[in-house]
Amino acid sequence: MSGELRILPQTYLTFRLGTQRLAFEAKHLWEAAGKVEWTEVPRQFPHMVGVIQLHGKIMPILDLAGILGIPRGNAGGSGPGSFIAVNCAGQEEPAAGFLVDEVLGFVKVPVEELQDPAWGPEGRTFPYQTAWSGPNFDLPLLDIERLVTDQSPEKAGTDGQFIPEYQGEDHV
Amino acid sequence: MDLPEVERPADLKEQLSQISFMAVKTEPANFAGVLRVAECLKLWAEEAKRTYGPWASTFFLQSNQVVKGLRAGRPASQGLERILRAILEADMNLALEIEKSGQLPPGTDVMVFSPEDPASPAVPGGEDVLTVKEVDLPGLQDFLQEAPGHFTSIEEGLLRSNRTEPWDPLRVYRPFHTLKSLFGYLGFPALGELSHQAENLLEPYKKSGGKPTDEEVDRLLRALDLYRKQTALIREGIPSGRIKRFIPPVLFGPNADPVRREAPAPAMAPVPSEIPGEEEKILRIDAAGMDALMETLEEWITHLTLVRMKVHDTPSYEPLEGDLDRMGKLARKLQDQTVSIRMVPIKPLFARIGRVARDLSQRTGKTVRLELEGGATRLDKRLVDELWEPVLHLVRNAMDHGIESPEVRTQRGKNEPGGLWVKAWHQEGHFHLSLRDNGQGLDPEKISRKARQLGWLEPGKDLEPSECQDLIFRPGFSTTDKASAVSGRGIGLDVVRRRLQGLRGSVELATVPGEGCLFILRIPLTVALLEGLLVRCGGGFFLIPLTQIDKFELITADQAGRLDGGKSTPQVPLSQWLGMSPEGPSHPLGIRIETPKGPFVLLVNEVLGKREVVLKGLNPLLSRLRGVNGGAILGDGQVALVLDMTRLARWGVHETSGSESQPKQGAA
Repeated sequence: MSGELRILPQTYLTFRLGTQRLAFEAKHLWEAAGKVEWTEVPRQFPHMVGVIQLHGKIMPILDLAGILGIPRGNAGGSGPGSFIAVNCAGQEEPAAGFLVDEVLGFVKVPVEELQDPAWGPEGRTFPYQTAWSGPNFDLPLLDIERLVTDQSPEKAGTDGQFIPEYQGEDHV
Repeated sequence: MDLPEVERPADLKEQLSQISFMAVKTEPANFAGVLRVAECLKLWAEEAKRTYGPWASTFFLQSNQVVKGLRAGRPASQGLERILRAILEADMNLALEIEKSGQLPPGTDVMVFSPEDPASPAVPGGEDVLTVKEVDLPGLQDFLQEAPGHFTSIEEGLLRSNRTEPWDPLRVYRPFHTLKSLFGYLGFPALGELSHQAENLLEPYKKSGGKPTDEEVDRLLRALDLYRKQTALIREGIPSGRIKRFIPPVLFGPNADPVRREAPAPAMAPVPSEIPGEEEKILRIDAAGMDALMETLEEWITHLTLVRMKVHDTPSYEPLEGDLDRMGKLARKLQDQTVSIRMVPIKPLFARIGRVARDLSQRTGKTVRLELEGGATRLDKRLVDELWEPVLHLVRNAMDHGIESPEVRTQRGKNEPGGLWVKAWHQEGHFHLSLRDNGQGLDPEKISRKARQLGWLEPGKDLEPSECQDLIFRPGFSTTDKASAVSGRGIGLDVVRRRLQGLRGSVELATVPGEGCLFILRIPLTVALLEGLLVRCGGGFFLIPLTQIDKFELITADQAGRLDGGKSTPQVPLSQWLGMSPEGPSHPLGIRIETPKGPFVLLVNEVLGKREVVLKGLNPLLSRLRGVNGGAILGDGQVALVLDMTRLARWGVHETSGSESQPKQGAA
């Protein structure tokens, strides 16, 4: 029996931020929802806009447009926006939720269609981008796991700016 | 006019708390509002009189002062706090009256421990190594779960032998027998042999129905101590070389017959053993599984609430409302039942108290009569374990400092046996444990003197009674000049308060000089529940845990400027602390929080009232938010973050005391 060993196409979730389409591997998708409203949290970390409860868990909501430096659509404002919850490898709970302007759906991308980010149009590479999909460099694929990890206070280097440490007596 | 409705109309403190909330929201100019508060307070005091009789007279006086203060624009909280303290003192006086009448509540266990026990036998020990085949034996985990139940049964059974009522030797014999089988099966022959000796000792009483002597009880308790110690080592999985061998003569004494060595421990799998003292069947459930079940239920209830809100707003869905109400009630019932599965009776804790009282009676030379009431009261298993240390400190304090020596008691015209009363009960969704002694109580003069010696009080000044009570909970404070082996190092009560705060609970104290002390410990029924004050700040909801602040009162922005006799009280907007944009032009409400360094006023947009919530851990990204140490999901599905008041207050007081600096503004 003869046959060709093929790498199956990966499934990606596509979404829109402003006018830009983006995607990340669908295996990291936990849940996508329409309009959500969140509760504001202390603005101690950049891009963390609030919290919501998802299936009994409290989850941070991050402003993805702000992280990627993309001009905001509806998602970055204070009103409701679409929302995608993602998980990271080895975690049983969603790691974070992102505000996006629209969830577009799933696409399958064959490996042979993936292109190096550096080959794209100059000045159009996004942070956390792992590849382009398609010959026209029209769909940036994101490493969402690394993006989430980098939002941790240790990585972001902004460990609670507002309340300074006080090395004094414990009063209460 | 009715009193504010609460789940249990008899909950006087809860009613007072609701009146307090009503008073805070009442402006002095609102004549009808003040009248309503006054009427509620009057009704409340009348109801309190039914419980406390003549002891409630002070409530009426205090209530009048609160109303007068309200009319004059003074915050009501200080007066209401005085009433709360008066309730505690009334509790104490009521207890003293019951004690004098000699009435015993039904189900109360009474034991009398006397120091006139025989000389202690040799403490078991030895350096021989006990052979342990493997720590990870099949059945070991089951044993480790079962063993504490057997230990408790033995301890309880032995302590019961001090009573005048008939004694059943089988209550002690059976668990020793079960332990013999278990230790034998697991490959701990020496420990199995110990049980065998215990059985031999108890054998004559099993036949005759008599009671063992004090000396024999003492030996059996020491054997139990050895079991606990060895089991703890086995639990930790310590290499076999560290587990010491038991020396058999402990039960029989040096002149006893040689220990019989015939097959004390059958090397066969023991039959599934009963948990002694528990008639019902026990099913062991994984704690994590229970937590997951709780979370799913909460989520269900949250969604149900949201659906009900939508149905309520849609006229065409009206016929569904009744069904949804029933579903909601069932869901709540299911949640209550799930919470109750985590609950266990407090009885093992009582058994340990009995044991400590017995030992301390011997060590301090004091005779004590111990009454234990409410052993069937249930509490989250984890909390039962964590409650032990604070309870131990209180029992030690009562025995060492509180109850006088027999000679002194005789001189003071008191009965020679000192009294120690321990009572457990549920109230207002919380577990309460009170410990009262009829010893010498707190002496304000002695405490003031000690405070002056320590430099905590200016020379020539005396402490108010309430200040005395605050002081004795401070680390390093003890009125005893010399520390004994039992207590007196000034760390006990500090530990009690900190541990209780760690469990999101509180400790209250009432004392009558010369008559004794009453401590009341209050903790949530499960580790998961938290009581707090829900506030809104900007677009966020925050919960201030009531257990983390000494005192608080709600005030309007107008009142904030007139506090503390016109002295300036630091005002700190919560939004500034947390780096949030406040919603609206100003902060209309303040919460005056007291700390040992002085009070300060926390300004928020809105105070939404007290809430009891299920405390949730935070996602890793959220867990590093400073000033926040948990989260909660509110009834409408919104999220509230739980503030870490210890940290916020520490920072707030630092920033506002003796410094003009304002909270630092970071980058948004």
